[in-house]
Amino acid sequence: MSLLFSSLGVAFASTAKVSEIKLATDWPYPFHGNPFGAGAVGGAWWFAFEPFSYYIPQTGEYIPRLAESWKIEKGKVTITLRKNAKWSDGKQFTAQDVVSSIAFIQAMWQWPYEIETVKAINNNTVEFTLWKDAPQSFVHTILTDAAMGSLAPSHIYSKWLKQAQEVANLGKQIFYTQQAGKTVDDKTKKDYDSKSNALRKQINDFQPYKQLKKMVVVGSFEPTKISQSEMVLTLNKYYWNASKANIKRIVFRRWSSNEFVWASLISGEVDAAHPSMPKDVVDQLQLLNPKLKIKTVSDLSEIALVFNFKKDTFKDINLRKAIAFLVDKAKVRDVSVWQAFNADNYFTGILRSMESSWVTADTTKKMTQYKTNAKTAESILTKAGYTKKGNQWYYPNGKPVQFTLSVYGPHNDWVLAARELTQQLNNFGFKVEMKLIPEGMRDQVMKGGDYECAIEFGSAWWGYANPYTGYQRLYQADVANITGFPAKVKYDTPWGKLSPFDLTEELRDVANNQQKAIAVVQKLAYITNEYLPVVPLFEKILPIYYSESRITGWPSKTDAIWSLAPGGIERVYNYLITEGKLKSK
Amino acid sequence: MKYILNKVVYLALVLLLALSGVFIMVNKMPGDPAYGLAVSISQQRNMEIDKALEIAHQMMGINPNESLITRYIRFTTNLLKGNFGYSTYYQASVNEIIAKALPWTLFVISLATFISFFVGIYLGAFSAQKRGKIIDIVISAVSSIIQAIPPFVLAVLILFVGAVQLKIIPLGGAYPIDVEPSFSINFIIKVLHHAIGPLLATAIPQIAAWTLAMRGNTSQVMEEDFIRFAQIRGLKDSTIANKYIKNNAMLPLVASLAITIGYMLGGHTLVEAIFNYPGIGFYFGKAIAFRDFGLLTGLFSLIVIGVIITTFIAELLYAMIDPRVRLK
Repeated sequence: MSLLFSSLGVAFASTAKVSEIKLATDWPYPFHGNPFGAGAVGGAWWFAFEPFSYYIPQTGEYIPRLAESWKIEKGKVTITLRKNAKWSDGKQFTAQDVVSSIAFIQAMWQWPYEIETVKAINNNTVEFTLWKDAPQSFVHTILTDAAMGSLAPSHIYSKWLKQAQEVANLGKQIFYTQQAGKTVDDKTKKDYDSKSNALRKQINDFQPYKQLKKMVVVGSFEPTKISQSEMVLTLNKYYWNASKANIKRIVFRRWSSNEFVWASLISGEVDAAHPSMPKDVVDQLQLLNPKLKIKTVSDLSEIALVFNFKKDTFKDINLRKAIAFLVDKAKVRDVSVWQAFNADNYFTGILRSMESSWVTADTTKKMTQYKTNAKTAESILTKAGYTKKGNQWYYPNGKPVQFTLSVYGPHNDWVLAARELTQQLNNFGFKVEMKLIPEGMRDQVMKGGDYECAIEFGSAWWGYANPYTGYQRLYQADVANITGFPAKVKYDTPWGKLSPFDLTEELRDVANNQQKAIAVVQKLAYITNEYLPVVPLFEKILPIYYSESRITGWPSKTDAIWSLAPGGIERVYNYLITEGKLKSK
Repeated sequence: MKYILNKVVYLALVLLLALSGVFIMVNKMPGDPAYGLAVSISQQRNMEIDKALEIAHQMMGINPNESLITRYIRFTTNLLKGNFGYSTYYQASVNEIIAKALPWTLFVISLATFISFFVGIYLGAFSAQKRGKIIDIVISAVSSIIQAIPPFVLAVLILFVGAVQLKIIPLGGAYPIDVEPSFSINFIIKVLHHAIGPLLATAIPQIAAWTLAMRGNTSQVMEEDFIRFAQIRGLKDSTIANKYIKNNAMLPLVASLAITIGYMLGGHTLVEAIFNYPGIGFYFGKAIAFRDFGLLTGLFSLIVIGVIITTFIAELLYAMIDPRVRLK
């Protein structure tokens, strides 16, 4: 039987070999090739479309891609496009394509209205005029988001362009009116709804891959063959840097389960992937495939214990401080995600891997250091009027300290962290019960405030790797929305009474100026550490497994290019392929 | 004829009740299919979740204010026309999704059921006839152990041993991407080769289950008076085994066979995910994860209809084999 199957295996081996790399991802099926359609285009995104530049978080450097250069003035961004950039059907990529893309994303996604107008100055120059209240960080979005320039080739989408521009303009009008605190009249709303729905229907029904028999892309690779299990991308021969690419074909295996990806990595069927793996699987994996290397990069986020400030329990800073002292973070990390980076003993809101660039020693001297110490936790509680009878702590009002710790069930690593944390808190003398949030219900539970404390993302620098992004989450956006931390209140600091909300606003305006930003960050770091909107547990990492069995040229483990991976790992592969670094053996 | 007519009326009532149950169950499930999209919109644009949800509903064509009754009427009307609904996640008709995925699932589970039923029946009968002997003990013990292993664990084992270590089965997919689907021998062999993993993961626990069930039934039949009478009549052991014992012991398993097919239709999800096999299990997993109620209702309905109809066919077959059932 074994012999028969082995011989079949030999018979099935592919004959015509082109230099290819095998990766794992997901994509919509049936594949439509419509970036505005359901499920968009899956893992083909970063190969099919290209941003004006790549941003390397580790160095703060921008690498030009579709843009040759750019100029940023107050309220204006002027971009000079590559003259040799072409679509995969041979048509020139021009400023008009950028105008078209912006109109379509504004019309279809009701975003980014921060772009008030976009104008083609000439074939290769495009000028963005920003809305007066657009944050400075939005320039970063323009430069690095692949949606900004190449989603809707004007020669393909031109028949709907006028419609799209009309919808986009109405959308902007409504947005600006609402942002000014004014009411939008019903006629405008109705007009917008009917025009938007009509356009949406036509664009959603458009299936380039079926109707045009191809998906026209400006990026390095175009999808050419797709089944439910595999997707093949072929090098776009018109790509501006195609001559440098040694790899001509990308084969994506569908990421149907982590087990499938582990098996594919071990057997060399996939050359690179980033699944989460328990330690024993990694050990086994390296034993079976010694050519497999691992590089861990920060996923630009931290996992934290978040509190619901809408409930009375955690309004008391003493209880939060006691928890901060008694949690054994290293142990939580070990049982949850063993490869993750330890959280620091300072809870500054700055990711541990980035702390040295942003928080000065002068500031940390002023701050409480949360080294695990149950005795300190006990003393804080006792001083605050809490009492311990037997093995149970009681609030100053005599009620037992009891609460639930919610965690999203399908995230196994979070559940492990929650279990360990519950045990630690119970051992200390609190009465804590772990509560699982069912699949698909995480955001509803968290945003609905139906929890007391929970495991969640704390500070995260996704999209724009800058402290502003993290503080905005903590004090103005996602985390603030779920915790209800009183961010507008002014807190005592060595710099006087300050509100983290106002400081975040201040940071927004100076985010691109590191010197000025550092000064604001010190104050925010202090408030975050002393008033604990969340207690960080560990910094999440992205483990990248790459094999040298069939592919050579992987960068060294210290190469800053790896830090481009979080939020779009294909960008790293794309960069390495199109710069001619990766080669088939 | 009256028997069949009664059964058909009963079938229609059961279908109506079961499908209504499916509809209510899925529609009462917590979650909103647009929530995932809303969260990413809200994160990307720093927008309040309520506003983002409004946009997501609009983008996915969902009307959250539509009443349950209106949805139920549309659901039943659509089903009567053979329309299984619309997937909000894939923005595609559920029929289209079923048409693409169901053949792969049916191919594997029907093959697995066929093989496991006959192997299990043979092993169970054999084991019962060798009751108390070492071979019986081995068969029973191995079957009990295998039956206790969840199919997805077995799938992982088969994947790692068969595909990774021995490299005798493909890692995943239904056929290699470089091969064009056709009715050629080459393509059929490749399809069979790619089906080995999911087939084994599905069939092995079923073989164990059928073996144990058949062993129990056979042992019971062997105790019946008519078997003793046949022995006294001096009939050959092989005749008694094949004509009297096997047929009578197999009879109750025929009805279970139909239910097994239905159960396997729904329970195949994890096996398909592990083998990256393109069947309906894949879509089932996605439908649950993304709260795609349209797709979930459609797939559930398909499974319920499948189970009820196969059970109905089994009952008819049972009545044909055993006239006592008709008379009752």
